[in-house]
Amino acid sequence: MNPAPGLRAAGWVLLPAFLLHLWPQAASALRFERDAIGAGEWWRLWSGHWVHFSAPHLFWDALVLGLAGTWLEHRRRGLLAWHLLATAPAVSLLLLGLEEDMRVYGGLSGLGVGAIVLLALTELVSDREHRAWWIALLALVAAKIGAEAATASPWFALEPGIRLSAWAHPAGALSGLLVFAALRLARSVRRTRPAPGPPDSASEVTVF
Amino acid sequence: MTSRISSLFVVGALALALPGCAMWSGGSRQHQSSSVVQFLYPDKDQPFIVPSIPTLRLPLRVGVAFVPPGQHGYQSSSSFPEARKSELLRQIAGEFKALPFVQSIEVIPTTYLRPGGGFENLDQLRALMGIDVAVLIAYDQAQVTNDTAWTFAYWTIIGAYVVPAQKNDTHTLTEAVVYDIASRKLLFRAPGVSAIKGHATAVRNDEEMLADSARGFNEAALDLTTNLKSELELFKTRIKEAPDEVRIEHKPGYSGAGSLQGWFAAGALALLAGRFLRRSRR
Repeated sequence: MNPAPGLRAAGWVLLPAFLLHLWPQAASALRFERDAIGAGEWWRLWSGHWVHFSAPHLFWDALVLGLAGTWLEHRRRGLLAWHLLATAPAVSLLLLGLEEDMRVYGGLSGLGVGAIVLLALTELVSDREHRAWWIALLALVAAKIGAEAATASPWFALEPGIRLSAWAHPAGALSGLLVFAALRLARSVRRTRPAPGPPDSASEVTVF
Repeated sequence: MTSRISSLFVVGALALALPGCAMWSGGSRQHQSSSVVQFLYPDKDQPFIVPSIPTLRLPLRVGVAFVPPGQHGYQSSSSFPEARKSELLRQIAGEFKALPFVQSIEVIPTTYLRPGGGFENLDQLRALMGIDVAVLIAYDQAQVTNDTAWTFAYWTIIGAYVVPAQKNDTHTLTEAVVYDIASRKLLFRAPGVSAIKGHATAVRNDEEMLADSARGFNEAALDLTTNLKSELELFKTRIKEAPDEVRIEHKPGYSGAGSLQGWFAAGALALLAGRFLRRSRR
């Protein structure tokens, strides 16, 4: 297993987050802001996730998305990009609907949780020999969401004035699940279609 | 002739003894204070203000101020100088600033508070500075100096310079009282105390008393900041256990974020690394 291409792709995905952390003026034009999105700045549905409120916030989010993204990209080239394209607006739209009082949101954690869920489900169906690892990974996500719900306290905040979003991680997990379901559906549709010509040579890794 | 010698002896003895009498103060007491009760409830005839159930809308905007000294018990030659007060206010503001549910903290100059200004004065500050919660700092210091048996040494004059026969006690209490302005509800309070005992010579007694006073305020202020931390934690626990006591809401328009803490990242890393190593071995 050569993780280099996956690492490279994850690195490119995470680079903007680090740059935006160093350049707060640009971050303010890209972060998730309810009013701005309502006014038509729809790109914030995607870009808002790359804006972070502190260095530790960025570090942990980048670490998890980097790990899961590297593996996803190794599993199938372009899978990380598809995941981000689909999950980023999905999480943002869920947050717009579920947390009406939240004006500003930031962080890659929702996408990170989504990537973990997508990876675990993908591997669960293709790597049956080691299902326990992937079930454990899903259990970890469930434990994280459960712990947040159980210990939810209005006094807890990540940074002064910045609350822990109650729905970011459930929305991320749900988005990961939906992306997985959509890819499976696309795969089954492709399978039911008659092959137009001779079959492609089998790729080394076939997931969907 | 004998009577003249006697007279001279008496005059000489008196001349020697009088300075000793002057230094032999026999004990004195000094007191300086400011009172939260005097500030909030200045009028005895005022009907008692019944606090309502407070609704804290997080994140909070907090104001910290020294209660102005009342008409009684205030000394113009206070050994609690404004610079030290400002330093203490900054320390307390720092404690609150570190709290994640505090949006901002304002240090309110003492001149913004009127003696006996009451809740009306706090309402004005609320409107002026946009604060939700007021942290009022009050202090009370009593200093007592007493003569000990060694004060007989003052009769020698030199004794007043070298024998520390004055016994000094300095008791200081500082107090931070945290009020929700809208509901008039006392949320919690934290005390800071200091007790200093010392001895001084008659000549240096005033100087020593001033030094003890300043030390007393410093020690009480440090104790106050320590106690404030634990009282804040107790308050949070109390709110959790008795949610009817204080309602907690979030201000609309808050900023939110998800947080993948270390334990989650470490768990994911361990599982993925474990799976990766198994695959690599095959």
